Amino acid sequence: MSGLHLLDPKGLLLLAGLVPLVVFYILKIRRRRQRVSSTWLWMAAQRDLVAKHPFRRLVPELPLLLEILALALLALALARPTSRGGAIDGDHVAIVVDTSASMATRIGGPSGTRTRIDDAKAAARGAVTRLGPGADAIVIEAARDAVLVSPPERDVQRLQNAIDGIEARDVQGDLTAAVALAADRLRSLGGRQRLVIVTDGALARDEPLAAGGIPTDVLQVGDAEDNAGIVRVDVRSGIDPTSLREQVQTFAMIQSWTPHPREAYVTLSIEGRPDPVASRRLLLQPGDKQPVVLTFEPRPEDHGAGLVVQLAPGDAEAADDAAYARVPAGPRMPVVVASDLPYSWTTRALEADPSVDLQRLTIAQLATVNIDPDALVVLESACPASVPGNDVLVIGAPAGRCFGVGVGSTVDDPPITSWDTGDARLRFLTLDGVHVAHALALDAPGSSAALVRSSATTLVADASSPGRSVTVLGFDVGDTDWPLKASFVLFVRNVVELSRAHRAQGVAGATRTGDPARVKLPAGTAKVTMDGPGVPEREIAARDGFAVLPPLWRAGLYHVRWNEPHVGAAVVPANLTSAEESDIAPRAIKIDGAAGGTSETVTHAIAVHTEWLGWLAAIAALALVLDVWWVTRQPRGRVARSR
Amino acid sequence: MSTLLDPGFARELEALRRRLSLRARSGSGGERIASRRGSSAEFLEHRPYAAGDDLRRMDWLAFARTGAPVLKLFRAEEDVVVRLVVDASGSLDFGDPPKLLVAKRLAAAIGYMALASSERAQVLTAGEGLVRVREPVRGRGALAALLRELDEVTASHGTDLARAIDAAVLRAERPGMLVVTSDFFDPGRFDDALGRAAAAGHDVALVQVLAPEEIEPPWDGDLALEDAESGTTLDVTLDDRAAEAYRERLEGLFAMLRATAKRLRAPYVRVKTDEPLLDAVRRFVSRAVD
Repeated sequence: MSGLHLLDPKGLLLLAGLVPLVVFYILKIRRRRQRVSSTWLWMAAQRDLVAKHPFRRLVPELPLLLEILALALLALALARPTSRGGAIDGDHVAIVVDTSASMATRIGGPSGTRTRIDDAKAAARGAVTRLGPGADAIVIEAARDAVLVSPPERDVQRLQNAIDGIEARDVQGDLTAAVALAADRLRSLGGRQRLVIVTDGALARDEPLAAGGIPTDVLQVGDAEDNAGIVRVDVRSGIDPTSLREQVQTFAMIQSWTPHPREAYVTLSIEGRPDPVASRRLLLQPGDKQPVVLTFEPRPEDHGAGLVVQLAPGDAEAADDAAYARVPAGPRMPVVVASDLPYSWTTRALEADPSVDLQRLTIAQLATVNIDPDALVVLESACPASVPGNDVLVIGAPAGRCFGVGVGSTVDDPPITSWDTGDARLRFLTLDGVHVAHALALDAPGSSAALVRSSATTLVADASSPGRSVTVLGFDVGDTDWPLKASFVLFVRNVVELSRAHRAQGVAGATRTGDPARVKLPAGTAKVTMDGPGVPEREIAARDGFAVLPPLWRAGLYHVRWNEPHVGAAVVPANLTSAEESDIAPRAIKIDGAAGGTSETVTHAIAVHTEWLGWLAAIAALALVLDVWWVTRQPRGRVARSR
Repeated sequence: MSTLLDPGFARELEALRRRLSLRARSGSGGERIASRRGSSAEFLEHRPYAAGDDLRRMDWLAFARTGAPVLKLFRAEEDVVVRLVVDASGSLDFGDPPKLLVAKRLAAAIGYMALASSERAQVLTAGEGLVRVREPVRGRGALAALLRELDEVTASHGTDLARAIDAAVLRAERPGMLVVTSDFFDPGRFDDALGRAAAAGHDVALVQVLAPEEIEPPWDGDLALEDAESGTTLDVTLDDRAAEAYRERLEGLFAMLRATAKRLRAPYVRVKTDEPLLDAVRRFVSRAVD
């Protein structure tokens, strides 16, 4: 035994109750007043008595002592004293604390007052106190990635402070990577090494932990708890075939790990609106996995707003009881055609597409008219330096430089020799038989940027930059017979769909918790501010139409705002949505001893702690019983003397 | 007659007064035959004649029988002042009947016997020293005055018996009987003062008056004992052990008084307020040591 440790030292605050107890006791004592002729003999007798029985003076205070004892024991019980095993051998110890979402599980259900991470931190603090003389320890947090919380440190207080700063994240954990990092750091330190893993055993990856042959202690916390969670969420926008009105469909997958049937409600609400927009009742069987589709018709102002899918009632793991998304943009894609030409084949092709919201401008109007930032801009025979909107299609680029592509001299009758069939813009079409009368040679910045090539030059180039897809055609389609072929309509449609996909995505990259998120911004935005669950408002630099948000540790809706070149905002949803992490049942930890090239790995499955709460509470109750007995006891032995 | 002395009690005292023996010397003439030689008619002893002796006291018949000149000596006759020192400290104002009342009745009884025997009686009120001193009275006719003086004694003082006894001795022109009536709940060295009184020729007598609850406290539990004299309180948890400790201390006080009485050849009478006073007076006149 290495002594007692307090899992919840805040419980000692109850000792403050001693002050009013003593005050009340002093106020409460009302001794019966008895007049006697003289207290002289009584005083002398009291002195005799105290001399003979030194503890007798405590007898009158026995109820107070018993109450103080009971209160102190209760305070100690609330502080949850625990005893642990012996000292941790090793000159260098790595303490890996699992901080995945399952570690936020409340012990004893949703109303529990402590979480697995609380116990894990207490266990880690206890492990620190069991370090041998001169031993140092590093502390590693195993969230989605391994994070070194404390470098090698001998100071117990600093280590405990570092451990105190750890908290559970709403992420799918990767204990394997953290253990590998710990093993690697220990190996670099030499000496006798020891690895201490503090986890609930609910690992997302069911694979042995590679401890590299280092003796490993596993401190497992938490018990089995009921849980059901949202393991997947997806939102689509479309046209309701019946009402022919826009409809948003939210798909959620609910999975249950409870051992008994459970009734649950899934509600869908829009951030900022008090009432849910849709809800469903489910009966989840043990191990059941049920899809739920919730639909609603969005208002125009709802586009881009945050959506919250809530599973009720809540359970032990709160992170998977809600999922977040955005209301997708409407089905009609805004397209701006800027052209000074009297006739435009592209415009005709776009006009034939019912899902396009077409706007026609002159080249000069581009700089003055307010254009949807998600719009596809089609430029004909022009390539201004600054183009609003999002994706750009340049048809008949003028000589010079256009979006980084060099536009050179005229080439007559360039035969189309190849095109990039893998590019989304050229899918499902063929350019066989397309005759180009003359074109300007394009000098694509790289071979991969050439979309359509002739034998001597590039005819269509991809000049995309991060956050913006730019397609440059070196010829005017009016100088070809391409508009007379179906492939031209397909090409235009592909470009529109690509732009539509970009608009729907909005946030580039995954929005799972623990990942950094990329937010698409208007070109020219240099900085944004963000806030969200557990994140105070902070400023983040933006570049090339993107801002990269730091890893989002909490599931929820994050808000990104910018003021230039115009005021705008975006909602970034972050979700746990991990069936592996939602399965919070503790499982046996497997340590791969051979991974480190040695078979000497020792794994001790140490009981995290022996809690003395029950015993202390029982003794406190006994003290209170004694107190009651003492206060209510009958006088004894006086009858005989009163003869 | 005062409530201190009813007629029936006085009759009993009349019979007892003849047994009252006083060993004090007052020096003045009286009815009591003194132990020293004097001029009364009671023969005491013979002694050989010495030059200068009064020839009128020569026992000529004895000279005729023996041929040796001897003088015939007689006992002296003197009266004795019975000084009744009544403790009027607050501690006497306790019990039912109050201890002070019993003490005053005992003092009245002793005073009655003294006056009836043509001795003189004087009431001295003790507190923190002597708080009141009355002039000695003599003869049966002074009984009413004596009882009145005793009636006027009230308990309202602290206790310093040693000072009171010393003061009584200093004020006494002649030794006499010094009857101290008290509960003797006094941490002072009153036994030394009694010794000094005896050394000055006083015939010391101790009368201790106690209430039954002082001998056997009937209370129990957590008490705040309030001192009748000082008003101070003492927190006591009265259980078997505490009561036993108190009894031991009380027995110690009894033993000390008993030892003092024996040392001074003084009577020591312990009186419970609920016991018949006549028994106590009987023990007193027989110079008992309780």
